[in-house]
Amino acid sequence: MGAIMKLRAIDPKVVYLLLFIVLAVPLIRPIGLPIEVSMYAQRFYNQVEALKPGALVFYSLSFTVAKTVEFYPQMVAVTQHLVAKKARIVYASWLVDNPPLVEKLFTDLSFEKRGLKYGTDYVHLGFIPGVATGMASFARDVHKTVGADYGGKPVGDLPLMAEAKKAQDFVLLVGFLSINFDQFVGQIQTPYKLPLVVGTDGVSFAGMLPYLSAGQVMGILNSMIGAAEYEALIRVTGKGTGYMDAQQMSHFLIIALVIVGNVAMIMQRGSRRESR
Amino acid sequence: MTSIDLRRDIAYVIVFIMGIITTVEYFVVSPGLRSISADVQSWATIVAAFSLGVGSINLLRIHGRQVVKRGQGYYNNAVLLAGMCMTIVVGLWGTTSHPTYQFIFFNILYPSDTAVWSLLGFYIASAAVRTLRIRTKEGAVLLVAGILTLIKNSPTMGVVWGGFSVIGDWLLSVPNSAAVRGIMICSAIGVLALGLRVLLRQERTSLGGR
Repeated sequence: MGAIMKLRAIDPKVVYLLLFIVLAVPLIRPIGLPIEVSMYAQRFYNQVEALKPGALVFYSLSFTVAKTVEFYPQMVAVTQHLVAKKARIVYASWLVDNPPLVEKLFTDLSFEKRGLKYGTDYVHLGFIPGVATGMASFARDVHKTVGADYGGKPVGDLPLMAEAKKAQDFVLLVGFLSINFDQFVGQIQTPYKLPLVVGTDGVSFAGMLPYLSAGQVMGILNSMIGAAEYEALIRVTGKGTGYMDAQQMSHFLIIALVIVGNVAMIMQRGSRRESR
Repeated sequence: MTSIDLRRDIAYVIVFIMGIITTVEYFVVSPGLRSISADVQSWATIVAAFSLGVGSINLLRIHGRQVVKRGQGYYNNAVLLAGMCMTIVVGLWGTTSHPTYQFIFFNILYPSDTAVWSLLGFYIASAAVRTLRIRTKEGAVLLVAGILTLIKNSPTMGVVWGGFSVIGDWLLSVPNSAAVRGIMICSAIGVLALGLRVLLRQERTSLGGR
C-alpha cells in the first residue's frame, strides 16, 4: 500500500531512468515483438506494388535533420521496394537539410553494386528552394526550375530527365514530408491529380489523415511504426523493426505508470473518506 | 515622400503585379499568362535561394557584433560563427557531397539535433505520467483517449486483440480528423484573407511598415 502511494507522486528522474532502461535494452537485444500492419501502410504498399517496371517516380523530402530517426528507416524500406519494382526515381528535397540523406541512401543501399545507373535509373536533383513557389514551378517545368543535379551536372545531360519534364510525367509521388506537406499537396498533387503516398513523423501523422479520407493521399507511413510495418510487408528486417521494440516497450511502461498512478490516487481518496 | 517610402511603394507595386498574375493564371486558361506566371515562379525560386545568403549575412552581423563587444556568452556566438563559416567554406569549396561536408553533417549536426529532439520524448513521458489522472470527467476522457492512442501506436497490441486497432483507427479517423479539418479550413480562410490584405496593401507590416 505504502509503495503504491509513493508511486502517485513519482519522481521524474525515476521515470527518466526507467524509460532509459526500457529503451536501451531492446535496442541492444531486440525482442522481436509481432507487428500488425495498419491499413495506412498497406495502402502505401499497394500503390508501390502496382507500379510497372520503368515507372517514373518523384521522390521528395522535407523534414528537419532532428527527425531523421523517424524518416530514414521508412526511406530505406520504401526505396528497396521501388528498386525491386524497377521504378526509375527522381529524388529532390524541399529543405536544405535533406540532400545528404539521399546520398547516404544511395550508399547504404549500394545502388551502384545493384547495377543501378545514375542518370538512367535514378537522378538526384538536390535542394529546390522557394517552398510553395518552388514546388509550383517544378511541377510546371522541371528543367526551367532545376538547371543542374546535386553534383552540378546539367539536367539536360541526364537521359532520365528527358522523360521528366513536368509533374504529369510522373506516375507516382512519394513524399517523406513533415514540413511543407500542405504546400506539396496544394501545388503538385491536387492541381495535377497525381497519386501521392507519404511517409511522415508521429507529430504530423494525425494532421494528414483528412487528406487520406479525401483521396488526396493514397497511403501514409506513420513514423517508426510505418517503417516497421513496411519492412514487414516487404519481408525485410530493418532498423524500423528493431526500433519498434524499444518504442513499444516505452509505451507499455508509460501505460503501466499511468495506471499505477491513478490506482494510487483512487486508493488515497478512499482512505481519506474512511478517516473522515 | 522619403526614399524609404518610395522604395516601399515600388515593392508594393511589384508584389501586387506578381500576386495578380499568379492568382489570375490559376483560374483563367491563357497560354500567354501561363508562360509569364511560369517565369515569375522561376524568379521566385532564385530569389528564395538568395534569401539563404541574406540570412547568413544577418547571422554574421548579429553574432559578429556580440563577439566584437565581448557581450555575455560571446564564446557561444563565436562557436556558431566558426561552425557556420567552416560549413560554408567546405560546402562551396568541395560541394556538399565532399567527405568533410558529409562528416560535419553526419557527425556534428545530425547527432546533436537528434539528441535535442529525443530529449523531448523523456519530458513528454514524465508529463504524461503526472498529468493523465482521473480528477474530472474530462480528465477521464483524456486518459482513456491517451492510453488508447498509445496502444494503437504499439502494433503488438493489435495482434493481441484486433479491437484495439479498430478503436484506435476510429479515434484517429473520426474525432481527430473532424478537429483537424476544422482547424485546416479556418487557417486556409485566414491565409486567403491575409493574402488579400497584402495584395490590397492593408497589411502594412509585410514589407517593414508599421
